[in-house]
Amino acid sequence: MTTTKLPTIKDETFRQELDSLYRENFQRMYEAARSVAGNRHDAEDAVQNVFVRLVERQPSSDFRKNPKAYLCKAAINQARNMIRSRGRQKLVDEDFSKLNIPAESGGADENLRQTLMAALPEMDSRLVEMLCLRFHQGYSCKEIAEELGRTSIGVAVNLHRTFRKLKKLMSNPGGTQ
Amino acid sequence: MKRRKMKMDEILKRYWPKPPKEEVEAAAASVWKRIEAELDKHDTSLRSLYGDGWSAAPLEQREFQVLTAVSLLGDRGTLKSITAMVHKWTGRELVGHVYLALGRLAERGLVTVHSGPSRSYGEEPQRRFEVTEDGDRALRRAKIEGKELVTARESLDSECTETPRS
Repeated sequence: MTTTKLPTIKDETFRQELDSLYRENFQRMYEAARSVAGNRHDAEDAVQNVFVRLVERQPSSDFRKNPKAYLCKAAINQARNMIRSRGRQKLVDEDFSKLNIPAESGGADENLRQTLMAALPEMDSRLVEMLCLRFHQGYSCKEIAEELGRTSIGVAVNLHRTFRKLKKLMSNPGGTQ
Repeated sequence: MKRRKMKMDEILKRYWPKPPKEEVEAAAASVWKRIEAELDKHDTSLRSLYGDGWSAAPLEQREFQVLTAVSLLGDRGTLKSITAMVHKWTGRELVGHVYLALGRLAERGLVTVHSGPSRSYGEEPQRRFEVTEDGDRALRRAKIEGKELVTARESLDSECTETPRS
């Protein structure tokens, strides 16, 4: 038997883990939730709800398998639930005007953008997550696959299907559900 | 006409912009404040987001009994007194088990061992055991998990081995 040193206080472990998880994932979660919700307030609430749930109860096994993928997906689902619960599926928030939309955008461009924003909430959360990684983070299929624990071929196929579905949703807004 | 030919990835690149950095930073600060307020409402001192969900060590039943005895005895925790206390709970003499459990607990940093002065010449100094902070955390975890000092089986064994009173 050996005499051991008194350890330091570990009561802050959870808070530190949560803090570091938050720093690593907030941006991606927020961007994904904002894409679905269409406004910053719902996006903030969505991300907050995901973290509050982690505080309130033990994380699920999905979280333990891949925290990053879980958090992003959970934020998207939260954002979608918010929209659905308020019956605002077609809403595109006024604060999208603050985003960096190309300067030459005319009325038709604005319509296209609004149609896209209205179509995104209709998409599956994991597909929106892939789109976020692809278009917001600039990841390649291989990088997305590594991030989400999938194969790069699977990601490429999913992205292709996502484009097809988005196209369909945009050409027939609100008529697919 | 030109727009119709635009591919979906081009549309996404062009019409699905990232929120500005300042907005993301402001949102991050604001949401974290709200999460911190929520954190203050919960006792997360023994929790972890990873592993088995605890930041305190798990205890087996015997370890729980021994560690509880060490904790209750304070600075009077010797092998003899600890064994006597565990005996009270289990109704069985478990010197060997207690000794081994103490070794495991010390290895895991849940108890510390102090060598006291020997009472007489040639006698081995008596060793005293004390619960460390990690040991205390492990005990708190065991209590939250609902561990009990005497299991149903031990209680039964204890009753069976008791000598009938005349």
